[in-house]
Amino acid sequence: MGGLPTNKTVYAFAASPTNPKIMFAGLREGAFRSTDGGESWKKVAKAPRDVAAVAFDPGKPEVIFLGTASGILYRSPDNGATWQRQN
Amino acid sequence: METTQRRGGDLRPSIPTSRIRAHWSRVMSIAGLATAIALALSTFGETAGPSHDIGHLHALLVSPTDGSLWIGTHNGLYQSSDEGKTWQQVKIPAELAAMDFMSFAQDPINPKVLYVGTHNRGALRTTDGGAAWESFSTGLGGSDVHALAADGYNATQPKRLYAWVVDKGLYRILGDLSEWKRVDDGPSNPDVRALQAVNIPTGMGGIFLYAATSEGIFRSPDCF
Repeated sequence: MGGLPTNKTVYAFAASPTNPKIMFAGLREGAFRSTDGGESWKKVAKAPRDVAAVAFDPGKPEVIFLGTASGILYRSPDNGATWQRQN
Repeated sequence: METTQRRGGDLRPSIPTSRIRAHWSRVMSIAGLATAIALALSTFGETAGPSHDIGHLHALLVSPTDGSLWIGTHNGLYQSSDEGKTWQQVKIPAELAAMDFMSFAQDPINPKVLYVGTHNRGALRTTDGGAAWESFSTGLGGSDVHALAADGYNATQPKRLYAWVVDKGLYRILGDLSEWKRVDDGPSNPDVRALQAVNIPTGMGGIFLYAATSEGIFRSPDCF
């Protein structure tokens, strides 16, 4: 159980459109992923910090977009394993 | 949950706060100290890059029809058709121009219908994919809408949208989507940053509404 940093604001949240137990949470400390509906979370190793928004691509749910508070957008083509800066 | 209309037009919950919050529960338990220390160490040293004109970012949406991206920022509302490489500002009428665009919700049936929560103009709606905008705030108790969510509109339930209004609580709009009604105070920590209706069955005929807050993630059955 657990896995999110304690007493930290969660700024962003998104659940997969096809498997809703897969979720991403965005914090200043980074992005976190759950595969059990939020019961447990693991830090997404290669995601940036300062996450302000996160969204799944409804047409390609393995694709996740992530925006930082400073306006940088990242795209992951592989469920969060790797991330490419877009702008 | 019902609300009562008090003298002066203020909508307040009809039962005490301690009860109305009871259906919100923390999704995960508090992590142990060792886990927190490990996370702090693992994130140390990473930095965000510089801003690229779009400014402080609050919200992100991917359209199900064409994969285009929408972002809400301090400087405005932007759309990208090349996966975020370039951005075009969405024109908002002067009377609806907001300081910050905080949140999105999209109609699950008709993706041209999009709702945007703002810091100082309540909720806005477009029904044509972003060309024309209107205020969508009738019944909202305040103008600072930090979070929005659209339920999945399954056949057994009326259409429903949720809005989190800072210092006012959780609002819902049902059926014909004409007027917001206050539901309750939301999770015990009132600083809600994001809402999403998640298609995980509650066992009571509905699904869960998840809330990202300053104290973690909470969820509540959407039947309340």
